[in-house]
Amino acid sequence: MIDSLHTEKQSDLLLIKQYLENRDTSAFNELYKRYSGKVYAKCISMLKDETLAADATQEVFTKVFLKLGSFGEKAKFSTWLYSVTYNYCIDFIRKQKRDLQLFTDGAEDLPEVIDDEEDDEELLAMEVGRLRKVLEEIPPGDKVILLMKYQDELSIKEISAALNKNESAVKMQLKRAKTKAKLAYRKMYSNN
Amino acid sequence: MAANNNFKQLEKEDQEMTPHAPRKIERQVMGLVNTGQFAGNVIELYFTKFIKLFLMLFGADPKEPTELTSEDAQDSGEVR
Repeated sequence: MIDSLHTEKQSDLLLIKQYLENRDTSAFNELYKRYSGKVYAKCISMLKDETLAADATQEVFTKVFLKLGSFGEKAKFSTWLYSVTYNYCIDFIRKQKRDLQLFTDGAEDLPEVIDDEEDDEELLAMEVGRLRKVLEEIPPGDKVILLMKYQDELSIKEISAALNKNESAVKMQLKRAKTKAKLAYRKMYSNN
Repeated sequence: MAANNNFKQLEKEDQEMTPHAPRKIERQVMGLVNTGQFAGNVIELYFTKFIKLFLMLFGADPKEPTELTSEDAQDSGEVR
């Protein structure tokens, strides 16, 4: 029984508890090993530069280390970690390009799209290479909200907590981001 | 959610392209964690002693507050 407990992969929360209570750095190291690759891949996807992504990954884990004591266990550790990652990348992009549009705003004249499961299928079924290019075309905030929803499979409530926005604002932003992505797709691949 | 989710496939491909973060990041992050742990241990060990020393510099009595003098005992009515 004890052996099986030792060999079983420890949960993130158990590792956090182990680190906070015993200052066991091997527990933090395990969390790092578990998630650093994913965080680094997300940073490359957002920042498009390996050096910047490496710096961002280091900053994200430094923030996580400093704020781990205030992690409330209300969310999953991965949800919290990814929200720190996305927020860091959005802030970085905002600082680099002050005049860049982060989210599609309401002033833009976007056609109405029916928002249901069927409507999601068009987005989710885009061929991977094309999807990657579409995500490059839309504002970074829209990209983040789509990645949170469809890649990390976060709920509206979790996204609103991560981005510090209310739920109706997130729903509206998500709808605009989906419309923007589909329009970008049709514009780029309408001939095929 | 629809069965075919190519956002997941995109994530998989991104991770296959960069399966690990560079090793130097791990060294730097774990260096910070170890330094933090060392600082925490130092504070835990010496903080109370530092506070006592600080109070003594401002004229506080270095005696333990639980130690009763004969005058304290008389004041509290305790008979020795």
